[in-house]
Amino acid sequence: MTHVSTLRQRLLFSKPLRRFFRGMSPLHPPIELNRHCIYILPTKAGLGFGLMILVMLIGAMNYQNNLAYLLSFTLIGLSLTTMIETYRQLLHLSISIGHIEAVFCGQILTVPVIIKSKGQQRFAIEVDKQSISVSHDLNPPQDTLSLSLPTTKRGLHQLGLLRISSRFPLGLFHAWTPLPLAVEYLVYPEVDAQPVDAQQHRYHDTTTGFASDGIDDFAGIKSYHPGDAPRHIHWKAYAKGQGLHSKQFSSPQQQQRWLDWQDTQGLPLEKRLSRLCTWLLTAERNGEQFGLRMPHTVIEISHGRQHLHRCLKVLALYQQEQLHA
Amino acid sequence: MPSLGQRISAAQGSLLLACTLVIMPFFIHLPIWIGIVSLGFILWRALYDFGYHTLPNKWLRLLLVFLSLAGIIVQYKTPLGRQPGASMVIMLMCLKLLELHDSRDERVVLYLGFFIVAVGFLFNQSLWMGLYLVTVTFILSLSLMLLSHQAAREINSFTLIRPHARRLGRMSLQALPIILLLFVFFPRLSSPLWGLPQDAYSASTGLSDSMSPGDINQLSQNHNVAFRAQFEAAPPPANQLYWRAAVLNRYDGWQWLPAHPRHVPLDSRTLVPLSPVLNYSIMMEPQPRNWLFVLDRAMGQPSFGTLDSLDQLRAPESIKQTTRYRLQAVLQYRDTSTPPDKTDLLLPSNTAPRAVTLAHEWRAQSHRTSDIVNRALAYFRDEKFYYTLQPPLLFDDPVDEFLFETRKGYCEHYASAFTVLMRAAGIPARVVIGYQGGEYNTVDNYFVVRQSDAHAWSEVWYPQRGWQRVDPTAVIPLNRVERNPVQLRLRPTAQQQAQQSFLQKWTSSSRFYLDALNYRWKRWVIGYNQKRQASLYDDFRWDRLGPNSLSILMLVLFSLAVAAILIPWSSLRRPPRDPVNKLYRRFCQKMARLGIPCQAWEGAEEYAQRILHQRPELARPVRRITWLYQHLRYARLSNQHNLLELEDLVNNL
Repeated sequence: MTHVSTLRQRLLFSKPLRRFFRGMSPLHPPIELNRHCIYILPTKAGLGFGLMILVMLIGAMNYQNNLAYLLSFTLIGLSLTTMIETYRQLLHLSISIGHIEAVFCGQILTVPVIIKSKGQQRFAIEVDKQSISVSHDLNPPQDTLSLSLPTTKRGLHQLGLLRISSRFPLGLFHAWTPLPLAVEYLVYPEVDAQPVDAQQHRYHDTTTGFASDGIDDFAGIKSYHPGDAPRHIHWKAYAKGQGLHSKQFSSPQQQQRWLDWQDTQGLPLEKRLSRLCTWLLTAERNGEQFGLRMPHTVIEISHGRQHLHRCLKVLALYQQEQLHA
Repeated sequence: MPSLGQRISAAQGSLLLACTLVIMPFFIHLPIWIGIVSLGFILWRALYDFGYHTLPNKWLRLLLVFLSLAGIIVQYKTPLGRQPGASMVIMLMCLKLLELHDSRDERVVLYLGFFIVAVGFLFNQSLWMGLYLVTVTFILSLSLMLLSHQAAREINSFTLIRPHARRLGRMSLQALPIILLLFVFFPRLSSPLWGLPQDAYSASTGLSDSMSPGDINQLSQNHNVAFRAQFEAAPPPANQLYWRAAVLNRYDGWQWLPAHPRHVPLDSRTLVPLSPVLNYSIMMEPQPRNWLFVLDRAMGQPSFGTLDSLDQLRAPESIKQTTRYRLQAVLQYRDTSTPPDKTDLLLPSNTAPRAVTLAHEWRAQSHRTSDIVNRALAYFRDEKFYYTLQPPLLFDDPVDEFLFETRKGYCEHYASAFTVLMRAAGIPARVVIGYQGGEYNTVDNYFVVRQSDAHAWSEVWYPQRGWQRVDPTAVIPLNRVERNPVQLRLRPTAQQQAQQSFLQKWTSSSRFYLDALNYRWKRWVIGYNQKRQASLYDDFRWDRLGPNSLSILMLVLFSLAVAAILIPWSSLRRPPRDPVNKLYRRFCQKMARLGIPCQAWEGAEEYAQRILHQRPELARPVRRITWLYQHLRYARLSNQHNLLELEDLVNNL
């Protein structure tokens, strides 16, 4: 009995079979596709093609028609070379993932899939994750496909299983490789849909006082962002047809501001995060210095994109375990 | 005016082209309306693709399907058979073009297209059809490729056609060994899987099984190939080639009817060859009878069919496909083992009274068969007999009218009259129909015998030598012969051959090449069957290669297979040539020509120093080349621009 079970175990848990049934453990890119990880099976269209050849062959047998035989054999031969060609579409591709820009929840996440290839051009290479797929022709030595994924939850996510596949040249075979990528991406909380101005009073109530943009000195013109005060819009430029621009003013000394978790009391958790997220963005856009106070984390007052990202990341990861639970 | 490529995608364009080409060859085989309607459907789809028209909705489509199928059934009275079947597949393909949910529909159209190509081979298996359909198959496959490529399904994708066609060509070449192996070794059946419909094979013409005045004349304008014959050794001259098809010995006063073979045991046959035995093979075109053609007398056992007591070779059934068989022949012989019976002397009463009288006169002068035969031949030669393909009509008694009144006729008249004369003189005689001569193809060394070479002659029984051939037509002097291939061949003159102009020679030689090609096509591709497959191994003379050659061959193949598995191919593969290295080596060669060869131990920098020391005037290019070489090679400065600069510098040095 033990012998049988070990044999079975050996078969079932041999490396390639385990890989086939359970998938590979997540890999760090770049991953080079080789014959150990490319699978190939006929497509439905391929099975149909086979059926057509079979009927043709039976006809050739019955009529003893050598040219019909020849045609059947030509199509068989062509199918076989197609199989190899389909497999070669994927062979020696080297896959890595470029920098995934964090997005706010609800926005479309763009995953740049960087594919290095050798030799010939590869056609109709498909990269897909679940039902989302993108098809592209690859030029050597390097090409990038952008896979657009919807985001529904904030937090740090595993990119998980991508599949790279091809049906080229005749669509008779489907060659694919499952790519369990050890790649993470960050999704910030959703941006509050309500305009900032509606919440002005809460802004002003904060201890350090949050004035909106400075009003004293004209500092320059920047392109309009939603949320800019209408009175700051550079109407003259707009009238000239130059588009919407906002006049920027700065106060003599830089505003410093604490954005506090406590200030968003009364809202549900996700809403609170969204509100803070919106405030952070407004503060950054106004060129202010700001800090973030969360229940267990405090980020000191600073400014700049790096700082903003740090703050947003804290929001994104806040109580993420509960989120996933 | 936007070009085609700006209006439709490559995939659409090739699909329309493929469909049109697929149905083209059927136009001559199917009723005209089927061709027009199917072309109309394709045009509809084309109009849709170009944005001029919408496609029919589901109900209209169903109606069209119903009408087309009904039309076909009304036309043929049956949905079964070769022609109705072909019509239906064609209609379905073209109607499927009007349905357009997703790419699956287009795929189905292409699959049907492949199938129609195969159906086309049931109508015509000629070399030209084969070549045409190979092209069509290629375009169908190309459409399939374009269909599977997203980029080719968009406007302005015609540029993709060329690289994809090249790719498909390469794939087809790769598939070639598989195709050939399958073709040669895929087991063939000796009989159909199930009964074939009546019209399974194309119609064919040939000799009729009786002979009345005018029968062979009908064939004289028919230049279809009847068969081809190839001799293993030097062939006999064409005027000695009498291909026997059937013996006719029953005469009813108007027409000659086939003889009934008797049972003569094989071991009692005593054919004594008086001339060398000729080995040859015949490739027969399809014909409505089970007759196989034999050169004069057959020796031994032919590879196909059975010989009867009248030395006729008969196949088990009518010849539906090109058939090849081998046999031996002897042109001069003695064989008294099949004596004549009373049918060979029988003349209906009151037939040809004047001929009978004439024969009795000859008989009275000599009893020797050869004397009477010569007397008759002299009669045809010396009296004003003419050979013509437009003889006057004969009414009551064809033999008497021909012999004593019209005296104009062709082989049938002569053979018939001669045989009647012999019988009247008490000599057993019979008529033989078949073909005479053939056109010798000097390219591939075989004879092409056409329907227009049909001929009739006589056989006369000599007590000592048995049945011997006598051709009364052959004695008509040339000045009394109208131009006719058979007649001209029977008496070729040196003068005639010299008169052939250069153009005539050229056209005839190109005709020979074409026919030789056709012959090989028929012999090796169309005529390849279960029998040839079985004899494939036997045909190859292993003994020629010496003893144990087969085992040695197996051993070699086996070791090659093992080697192919064991040799680490990837390590044998040569690394790709570095273009930088290549250019630098060319630079070194140029310098070596100036007397400064690069030493093996020398680095690029040292070498440059040495060159500058000897040829300071080259300082600029040499410095730059060395710098570029070092940076391109070692500093990962991989820029196409730099590489081009290096190439320019080296070339201009």
